[in-house]
Amino acid sequence: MKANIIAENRIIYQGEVSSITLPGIKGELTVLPNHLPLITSLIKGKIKVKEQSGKELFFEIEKGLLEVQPDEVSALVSCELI
Amino acid sequence: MFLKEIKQKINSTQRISQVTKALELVSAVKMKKAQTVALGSRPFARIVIEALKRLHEHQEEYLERKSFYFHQRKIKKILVAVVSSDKGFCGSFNQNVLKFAEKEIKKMQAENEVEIMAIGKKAITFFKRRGYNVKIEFTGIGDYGKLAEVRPIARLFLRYFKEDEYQKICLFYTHFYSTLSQKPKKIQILPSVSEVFEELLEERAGEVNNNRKVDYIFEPSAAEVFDNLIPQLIEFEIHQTVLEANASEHSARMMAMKNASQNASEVIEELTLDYNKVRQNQITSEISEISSAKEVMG
Repeated sequence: MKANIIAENRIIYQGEVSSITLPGIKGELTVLPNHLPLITSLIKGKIKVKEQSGKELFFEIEKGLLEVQPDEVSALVSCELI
Repeated sequence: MFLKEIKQKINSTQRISQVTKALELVSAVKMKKAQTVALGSRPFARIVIEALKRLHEHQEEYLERKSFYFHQRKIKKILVAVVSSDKGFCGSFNQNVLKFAEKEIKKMQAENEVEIMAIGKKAITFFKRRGYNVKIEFTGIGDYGKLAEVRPIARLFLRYFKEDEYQKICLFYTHFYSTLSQKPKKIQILPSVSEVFEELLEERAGEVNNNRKVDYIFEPSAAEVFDNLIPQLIEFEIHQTVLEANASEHSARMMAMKNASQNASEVIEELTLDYNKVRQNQITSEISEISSAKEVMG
């Protein structure tokens, strides 16, 4: 599954992942490959990316938008840090 | 011409070229920054527009009523926003976008009432001098890079549209293709229409996305997602056009200044040649005077 985490002015993360956990508006959600297409808002919190090698990465976000397609996850986020 | 005059001309041209060179260097730095920002936000812009487009295409399936932001009401008044620069010295950058906007505004005026939001000092003076109805003015937009800084503009657009003050909102800006090529563009911000998305996608990303249909689940509900997202997406869309305009402005200025410096050095070269000729003439005539005097005396 391809994951894109994109901020307004740069690409934060892009790569193949085995799962991704995000702070959704209705609570934390984890997206695995072949998830149903979904669009939802994201709130302040942490995105956890698990790569295929098992490596875990974390990204802090302020708010955002999540779009899930079966083979691709795109999170549009804004971070205050940048 | 006298020696002194030419010398003065050379000096003043040199002073001008110093200024243009300095401006060129400053713009080069600003251009680089503005370009990086504009290009850096393109991936985000692409996904935003793609999402908007897909939402727009399938709105009938998700919503009982047509989304407010996509719905074209009967047009009574149109708001036209024009993005220009605050400062001059940037070649035909402002003229291009302003002339283009004026032409389009005239067309719109034939049918509806048009009011103008002028962004940038050049646009403000241009439209005021020509007697247009300038409703809102924004300045200091030249160095905007953050979303928060253009938010007031986006908010105003949304408010006006919501309160039925204007039924259509268009934006004119300069699209950045490369350092050498920028073009004025018109986009319709509200109500959002799908042709605009397609055109933007093509320009921003150079690709038209795969048109596969996806059945989305919306959380918490489609209507809520629409109402939350669309303002956010439109906000970003405006931000992106401002970034494009900035990148264009600085590129145009750098090119203009580069040309000016080049012209100045050419002029200096010519003048120096003239100067030397005149000087030589003077010396020759002096020598001939001396030698003829000597002959008379001798």
